[in-house]
Amino acid sequence: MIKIVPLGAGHDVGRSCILVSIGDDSTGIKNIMFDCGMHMGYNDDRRFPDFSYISKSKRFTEQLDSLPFFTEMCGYEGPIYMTHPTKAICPILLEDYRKITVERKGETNFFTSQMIKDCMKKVTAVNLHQTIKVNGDNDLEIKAYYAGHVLGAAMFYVRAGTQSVIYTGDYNMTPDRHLGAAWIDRVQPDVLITESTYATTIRDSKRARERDFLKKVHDCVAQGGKVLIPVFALGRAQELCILIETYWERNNLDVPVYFSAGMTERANDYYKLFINWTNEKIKNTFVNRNMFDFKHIKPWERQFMDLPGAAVLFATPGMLHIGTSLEVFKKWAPHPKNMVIMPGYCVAGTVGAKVLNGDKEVQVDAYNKIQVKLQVKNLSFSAHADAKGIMQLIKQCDPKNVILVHGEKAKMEFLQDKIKREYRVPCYAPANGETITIETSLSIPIDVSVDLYKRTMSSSKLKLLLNSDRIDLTKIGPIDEIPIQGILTMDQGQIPRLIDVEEAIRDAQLPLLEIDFNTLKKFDPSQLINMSEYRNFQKDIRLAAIDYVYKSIENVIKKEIPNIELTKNLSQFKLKSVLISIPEASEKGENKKNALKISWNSKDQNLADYLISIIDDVLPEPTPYVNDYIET
Amino acid sequence: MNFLIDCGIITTDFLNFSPRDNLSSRTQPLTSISTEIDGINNDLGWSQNEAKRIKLDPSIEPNGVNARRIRGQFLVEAPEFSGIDWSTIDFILITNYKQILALPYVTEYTDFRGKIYATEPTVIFGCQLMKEFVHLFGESTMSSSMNGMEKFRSLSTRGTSDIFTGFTPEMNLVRSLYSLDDVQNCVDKIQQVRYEEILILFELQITAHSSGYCLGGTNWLIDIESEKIAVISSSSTIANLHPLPFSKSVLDNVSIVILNNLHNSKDNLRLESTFQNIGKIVAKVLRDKGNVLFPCTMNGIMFDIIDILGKHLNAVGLGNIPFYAISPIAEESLKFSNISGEWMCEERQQKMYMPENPMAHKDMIDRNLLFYAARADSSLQEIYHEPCVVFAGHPSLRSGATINFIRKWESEYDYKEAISAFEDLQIMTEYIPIDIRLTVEEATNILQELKPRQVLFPREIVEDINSIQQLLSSSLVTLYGHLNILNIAINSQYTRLYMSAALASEIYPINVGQSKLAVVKAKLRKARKEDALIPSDESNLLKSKYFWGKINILELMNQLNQQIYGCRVSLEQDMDNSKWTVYVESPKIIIKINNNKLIIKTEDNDTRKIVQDILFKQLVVL
Repeated sequence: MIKIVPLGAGHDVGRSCILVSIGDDSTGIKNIMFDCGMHMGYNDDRRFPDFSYISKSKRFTEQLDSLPFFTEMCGYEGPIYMTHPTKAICPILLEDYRKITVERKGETNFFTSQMIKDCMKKVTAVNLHQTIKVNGDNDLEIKAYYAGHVLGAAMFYVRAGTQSVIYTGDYNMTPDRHLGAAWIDRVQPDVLITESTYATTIRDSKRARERDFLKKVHDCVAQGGKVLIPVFALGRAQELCILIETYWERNNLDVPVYFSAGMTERANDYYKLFINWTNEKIKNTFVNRNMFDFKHIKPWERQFMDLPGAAVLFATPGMLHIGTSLEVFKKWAPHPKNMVIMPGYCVAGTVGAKVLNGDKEVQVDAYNKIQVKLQVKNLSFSAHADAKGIMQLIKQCDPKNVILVHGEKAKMEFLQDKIKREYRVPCYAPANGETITIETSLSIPIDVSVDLYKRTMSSSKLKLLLNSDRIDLTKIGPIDEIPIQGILTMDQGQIPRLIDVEEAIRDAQLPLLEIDFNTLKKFDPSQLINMSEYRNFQKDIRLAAIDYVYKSIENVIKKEIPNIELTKNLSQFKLKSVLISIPEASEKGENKKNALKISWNSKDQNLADYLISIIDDVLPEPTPYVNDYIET
Repeated sequence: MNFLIDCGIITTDFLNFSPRDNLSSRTQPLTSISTEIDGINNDLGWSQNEAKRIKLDPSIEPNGVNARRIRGQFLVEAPEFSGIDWSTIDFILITNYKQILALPYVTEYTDFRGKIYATEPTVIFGCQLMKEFVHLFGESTMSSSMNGMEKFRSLSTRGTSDIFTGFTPEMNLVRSLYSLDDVQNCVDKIQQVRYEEILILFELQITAHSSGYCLGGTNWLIDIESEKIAVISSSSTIANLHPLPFSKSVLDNVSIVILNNLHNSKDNLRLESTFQNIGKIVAKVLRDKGNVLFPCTMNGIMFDIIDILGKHLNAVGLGNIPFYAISPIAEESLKFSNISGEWMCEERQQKMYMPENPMAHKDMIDRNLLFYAARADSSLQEIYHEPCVVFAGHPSLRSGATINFIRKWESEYDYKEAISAFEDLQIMTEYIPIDIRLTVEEATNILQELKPRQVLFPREIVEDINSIQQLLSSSLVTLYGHLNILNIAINSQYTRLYMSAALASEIYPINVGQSKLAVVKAKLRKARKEDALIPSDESNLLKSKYFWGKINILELMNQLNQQIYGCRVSLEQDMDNSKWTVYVESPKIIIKINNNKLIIKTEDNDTRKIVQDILFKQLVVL
């Protein structure tokens, strides 16, 4: 049984935090937390995921705004896993966020710098595709896959015994100018937990969007306007910087381009060191030219805000809710020549969302309202998978259940229907705190002896109906199920073992007996002699008996066991070890004249009992004489 | 299944050639530098530690100090290929960037169609090494290179014998080098992996583990039916080097260890003191206005030397001495190493997280203390200042910028023979071999507590197998040599599967002695990830029955007497008491008991039933 509870990101964007309980008695129950995000729309405790649901859990990944809150203020002690770039960048983002919240806004009850450092010490960095056995535990395994989206973004595959979950985090199925596309094996997990930010969007071609973006920027600066592009430090910032850089170079533009100093600058340094996590093209050309060494883009300084003339500024954060982007926005918003381009998603309640909504007057803080007269453009450069991408990922990993998180409720519902309809898998969209329970079939570990396993594997044959005139090739499929039989042994403190009988017989601890039975079946010949088809068998009526018994048995057994092998010749026939034959000549004796010999090995006792009962039915015993002669 | 581990080349035969000046013979731009030399890479390019074979050209007297040297085309001796049917090789595993040099011969000139696995850095740096190789030793014109390949092609198809059943090489295989196109095509065929990424190849599970030897250096763990085989190639347990340390997890519960590329040195010279020694000598030479040349490969320990030497010179007030790295691949190698932080030791990973350059040489480049150039030509003149420290290839001293930088040598190639090609040498030479690979002793120490079932050592390197066997008393120690065929028994007993709850609920184990037993009849469902046992849908008539226990013969006879009225029971006993036969007359019954084997003969079915019931009552029926 797998249980999933979103602590954040249920019917919600931002504040990603999903708790998963996986495993059964054989592996132990493992609790795992994926992501640890923060909500941008709230300023009180609601911005943190609701950790009160948790007692003890195990680990998480890459949306990490609340991580120090969780490890240092809620007392989490277990392991934490993230990719190398995430581990590198995460403390910078946290520190930046902390500064804005505490130092600029004067809030208390927030984590401290020391807490961020202490928290990062608990983190284990992982590489893509590296299979980690958590705490050396063979029963809990995690593996990261490339997710696109931002530098170091990963999807995580978690397996406990035979149960498995994939959590995507944010991902992007289309490669962009600086990152590759998300990719995953066909791991067929029990549950796929996928983000669904763009559950209903199908984006048009990337090229058109890029052209559109550059044209808008160019038109605005050509008129002497200023362009503000609010971005988050990682991801779109680099993507759009590369775009602008190459455009400026190609068109010989000299309008100044800036990115807000500090974070973005530092973020670019990370891109330079983590080239391996970008895309092949950047990697292959970096020796000659590192794409993240921008020639035209300079660090921003505050006094530039009041300079006259055209300019382009990439400023953080992307939702205009705080920091440089908001500060500059306040300054530039009242002028219709200027432009703001929103390249990403904005959480409801943020200034960014209000601006996108077309509000002409925006409350920027408790006391101030500003007039929005500049041009507002929205271009989706957000590196989330669109509906097509989400469907593509589901197809790639082939899950048994899908859970949608990190999206808006109405949009999720639409996608939910689509997934159920197209892939015929159950699909859920839980609210925060709502538990989804996925029944998985219980599975019990068993150690199968290699001899038995190999013999079983090699005994698998393609079923070919050779006796029919024509072989229907379309009927041949892969063999995925092979009969296996053995002896299960259970000892104290040991996983059950399945061994071959031969091994059990050899095993001194398990002396199994082999019993061969050998008996005679006497019958009354008169019944057979009277049957027309056996007239010719007068000389040895036993041959008739063999044939008659064979036909009777074949008739019955083929219904019971359609593919059983029956081997027959004139004087005997055999099913497994059960042999029905004419007694050998050496075994002299009057009583063998009207008798069949039946022999079997006790392992086929079930079959032998059944066959003898059939034989008794069709061939009645002769009425016993009083003086049965026994030869010594 | 057949697979190959590593694909290197012996380049020691280069010593038979005269040095090739890659610049025109007239340009000797940097003469008159007094130079000190240090041999860095003295491990063989070819991994199998194989015995020395025939010299390339018998007309040349080998090894003689005054031997005439071959002019012109360099030829290489690749591993023994002619006995291999390449179409039957399923995959190739590469352990580090040095063991890749012969790979283009395989991928481009044989019918090998399998997969090749190597870590990301192995592919990147291996590709660089091959390119350098071609630049320094390759042929100048395409046409002659084609001829060389024609020759190779004919050689590769000649082999008719099978290398797995025994094989004697008839002649030495001499090859001209492949082309840059061959290198690129070859590299494109390699699948890149990361450490601890589990590869499922047919019935094998294969994982790469860090060897601590170089960036991406790999020891391969091969898991076959739950039995583990570790292939330990060039590995290093020396602390404070730049690569991720040697990962001991490759040896967890391992049954068979194949050791390769060990280092045969006895003196356990500590690397710190070697570095100190180098620092001291270099500082002295520089103070005397001399220059220092390190003939080396643009990788591996060179990164540590640049780092440590840079810091040392800075500390002793020589911080402004320029360093030069001269090789066709110098720039690529220096830059790529700096973005391979994930493959480095903890300390350097921490720097990467800052973000700072994990490789000190990148800082030196940024601060104009380290310069790189493809060739020692005029492009270097502008930035070149003496005194300086130069790192240049090729360590064989037979080609590359190192020639231009006057004469030097190295340990992989016999030092005296290497240096003897340069007459009138006015430079001071210092021979400080650095080999970070595991020694026989170190390898033995590591394995002592792990008690693998069998350990294989390369024959050439082991002087005293008995002392090793004594230390590894719980393991079987075996030596292997060039073209030896060794059979290793795989005797894993169990493989882990899962059974479904539905099947488990059908099973009712019975107490038998200390254990619980049950007969299981099921279906094995083959799946991509894990095979599972599920309930069988076949008739239960086919379910076997088994019997456990001992027959009490007196009780048996007693029961026969009671249940068959008026019969005569007699017993016949074998001399050694292991065989018993019970005879019954009217009705006739024979019961033979021989250890665990019973034979029961009756002459009618009713009697059989009676006997059967008596017996089964004495036994546990499964």
